[in-house]
Amino acid sequence: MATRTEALPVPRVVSWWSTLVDWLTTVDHKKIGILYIAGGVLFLIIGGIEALLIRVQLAGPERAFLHPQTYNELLTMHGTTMIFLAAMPILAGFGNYVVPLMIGARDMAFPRLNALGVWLFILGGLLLYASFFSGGAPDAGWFAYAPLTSKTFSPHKGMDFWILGLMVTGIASISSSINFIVTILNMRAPGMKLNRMPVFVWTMLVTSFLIVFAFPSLTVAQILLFFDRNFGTGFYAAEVGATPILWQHLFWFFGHPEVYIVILPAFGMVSEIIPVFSRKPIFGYAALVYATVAIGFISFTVWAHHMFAVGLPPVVAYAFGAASMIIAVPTAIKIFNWIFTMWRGSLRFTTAMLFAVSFVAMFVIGGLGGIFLATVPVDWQLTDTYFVVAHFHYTLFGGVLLSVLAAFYYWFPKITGRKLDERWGRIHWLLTFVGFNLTFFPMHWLGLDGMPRRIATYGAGLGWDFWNFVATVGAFIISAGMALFVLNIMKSLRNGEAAGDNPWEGWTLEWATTSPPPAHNFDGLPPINSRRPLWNAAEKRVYTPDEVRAMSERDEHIHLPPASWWPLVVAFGVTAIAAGFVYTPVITVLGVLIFLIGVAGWVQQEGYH
Amino acid sequence: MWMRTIGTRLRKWPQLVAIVVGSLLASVLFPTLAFADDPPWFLNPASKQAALVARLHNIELAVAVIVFVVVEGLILYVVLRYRQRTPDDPAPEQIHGNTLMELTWTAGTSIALLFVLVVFWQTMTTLAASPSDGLQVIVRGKQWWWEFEYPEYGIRTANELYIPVGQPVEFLLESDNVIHSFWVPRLGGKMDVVPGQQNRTWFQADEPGEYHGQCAEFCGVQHAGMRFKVFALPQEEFQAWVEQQQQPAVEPQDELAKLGAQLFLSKGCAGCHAIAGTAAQGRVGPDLTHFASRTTVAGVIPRTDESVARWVFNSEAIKPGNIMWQTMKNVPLSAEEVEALVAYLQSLK
Repeated sequence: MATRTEALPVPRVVSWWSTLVDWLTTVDHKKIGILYIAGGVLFLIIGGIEALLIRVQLAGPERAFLHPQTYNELLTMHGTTMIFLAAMPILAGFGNYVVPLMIGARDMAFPRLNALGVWLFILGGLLLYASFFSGGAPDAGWFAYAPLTSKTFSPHKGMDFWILGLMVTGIASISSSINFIVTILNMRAPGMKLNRMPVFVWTMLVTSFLIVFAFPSLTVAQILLFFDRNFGTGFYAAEVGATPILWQHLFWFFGHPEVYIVILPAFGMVSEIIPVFSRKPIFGYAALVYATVAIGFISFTVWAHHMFAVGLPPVVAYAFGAASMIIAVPTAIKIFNWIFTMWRGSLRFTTAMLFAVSFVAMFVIGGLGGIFLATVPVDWQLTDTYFVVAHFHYTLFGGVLLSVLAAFYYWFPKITGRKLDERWGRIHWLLTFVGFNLTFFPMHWLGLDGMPRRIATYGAGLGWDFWNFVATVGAFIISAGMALFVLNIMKSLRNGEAAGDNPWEGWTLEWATTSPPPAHNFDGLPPINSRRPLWNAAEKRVYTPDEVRAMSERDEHIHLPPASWWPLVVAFGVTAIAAGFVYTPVITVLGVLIFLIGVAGWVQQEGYH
Repeated sequence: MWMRTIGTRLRKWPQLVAIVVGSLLASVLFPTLAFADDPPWFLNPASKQAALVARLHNIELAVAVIVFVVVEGLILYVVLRYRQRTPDDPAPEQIHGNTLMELTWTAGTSIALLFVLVVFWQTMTTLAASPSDGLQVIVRGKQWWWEFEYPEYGIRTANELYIPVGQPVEFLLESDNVIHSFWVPRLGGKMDVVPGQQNRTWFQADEPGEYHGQCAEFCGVQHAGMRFKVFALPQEEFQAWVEQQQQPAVEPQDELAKLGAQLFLSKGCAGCHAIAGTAAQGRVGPDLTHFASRTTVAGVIPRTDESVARWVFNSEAIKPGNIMWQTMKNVPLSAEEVEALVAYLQSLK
């Protein structure tokens, strides 16, 4: 445990303007990571408010708190926001911050491409949200089934904003994934072999491949939809002989791998946190990594399990159901590996560990719900009911969000130099855990009880009133926890306990440098001879920061890429090109100009100095 | 400060775990108390199909409960047993894995899944066999109501589906707008109603009764209002219903209803609604020939003089976003005219 109590280095006094310029032009993976996380948390809060409004509307039967049109817009934006603007960016943010440190690299392989990604995410998200002020938000669900998305059935421009906003953020996802793949494969420090990489790095690698292969399917589907809506084509129109089912295949061919795109990094995070707080190495490293890769492959073979009720032939439906169930095997392997990492350990229940263990316990429930949905006949009863809502919130909230919160408490000291308040953290955990179960467990009952999803209201006397009310109460408890979390961040940034290099006695390389790390990450790296470079196997403890420094060989040749405005300029150009398609073509023309200027500046700027 | 106190107390782990787990267990066991008397759920099946699915569900539930108890119990045990007692506990033995254990749980999970896959296949093949001698009903999903047509009887009705007990009924699902999903939980699972393709599904009600049905695919503003009822009747009663529905509309008797009949034609209602035996032949909205034999208005509120008047006068207040209102909002109706229309509609037994 770090016992350093001396004051943290006081940052140079700088004007707000130079700070702003610094952040706008940064190509430092750590600052970019923070931007991703901050943007993602803002959208998480917005998506959370949308969820609260939905829960208020559903607190009792036949309520008219929201007009059904507003309800549908909130429903669509809640799903879209949480997946594309909260979960993915926050995970990409932690990946950006932590992956180069974990593999002992100075930065990502393509620092400016990295900066482009974060600006595209932020601007694409803003473009999507501009719909609220430009005639109406998208209203056809995050899954956007044709033909409800056609001009006939969704006449305002909301769906166009949805298509274009997500295409902009999609470029961010694909470019940052290529960056992760190249970084992880090429930039590892000497000694950091593939089979010594932290599990989190492995999961980011697999997730990046999933993004590269899955997102194009969404983009194609969206381009076809944009043509249908605006140029009179009929890719999804039954009246000209096409089939709206085409959309479902294209969308879910993206949409199911997407589930694993957001859950695999979460698996990676808890695979780092649980061992450190158990003071034991991860149990069955090889099995865990193989299971990750296996899930990656199988995730591309299960998309039609979202479509069991569209009239698939029984054998096809059975095959997709069986493939979906097979995913339970690698997932179960992971669950047991985490449990047996703790087995015979010495468990320290920090807030990070509380969230990580809760993740394991809750994800089990999410996985068990999935078994019901994979068996086609049961799915015919449960699909499109609240049972599905319960199931995927146990995987996305119980899975992704709980591990992201664990990651916050775990890596916040590294990122800021200060710990989050642990006492507030434990209350945050308790509120989140109780509120989460109160909100989402009863939804299993509602679904079994016949309550469909996505209904803006429901009749009294169907037996749905009580559990809906309970769920709404739970949602407010979650909100209280999240408010406390935000307060904790603000408080701890100012006067949190100083962290030192390695507050949790971690053994991966991010703990081998200062908190926060310098721009060049490491003055020098310790030798990497095992999966736990900072673990002193002889004395069964982690090396102290001073020992690590003594072991490290100072690197005198540090090259850092220069700051650059061009990624921001290019991102503006791309977003303007997209925005012109919903506002006026002039903006597109301007966007092309800005884009070309940005690219010209980009290629002429020297990469290193 | 109170938060600090709670935060510090929370370190007293085992008690906390006991509270949380206890409340979770309570939430698992409690639901039986909160269900309606006759819930519209498939675990209360009224057909052979729904019963088969309920059986498969219950088998899976048994497997899931066993897995849940074993895994969550293991987590609780490990968490309580191996927590650090004092800050300077020595580091535990560094175990990297155990091939035998890993093989065991991989095999165990696979066997459990294989078992589920076999029952799944059995159920699937049993359900796939559809009858050839069933009554056929064409189901048309509209925004946001249901049309039911009985080709062999020449009957068209809306939002209320009558079927005979003990006879398979085959449903031919059609849509000329967006995708809907036809679902009566106690009788059978969902089947999507997709434009450009005719899906089929069937079920056979084993008990007479009234069943709740609802559109299960997100279909626009009034997705929530796209409800319907299924009435399963014994054969003789069903035949009586068929004969009654085959009659043209009854002639209005009193003066008010006669005025309503004229208004129905002159105010444009007939452009969308059909009433057999009159000049009204619209096919856009529900067929109203036997409107007064239905239990609800627009599938969402009980049919009374007062509710019909509210619907005719301002349907937007009852089903916001409904398509009829797009026309009706431009058709001024006086209170007397509404009264006359209601009298006419309510006479259409």
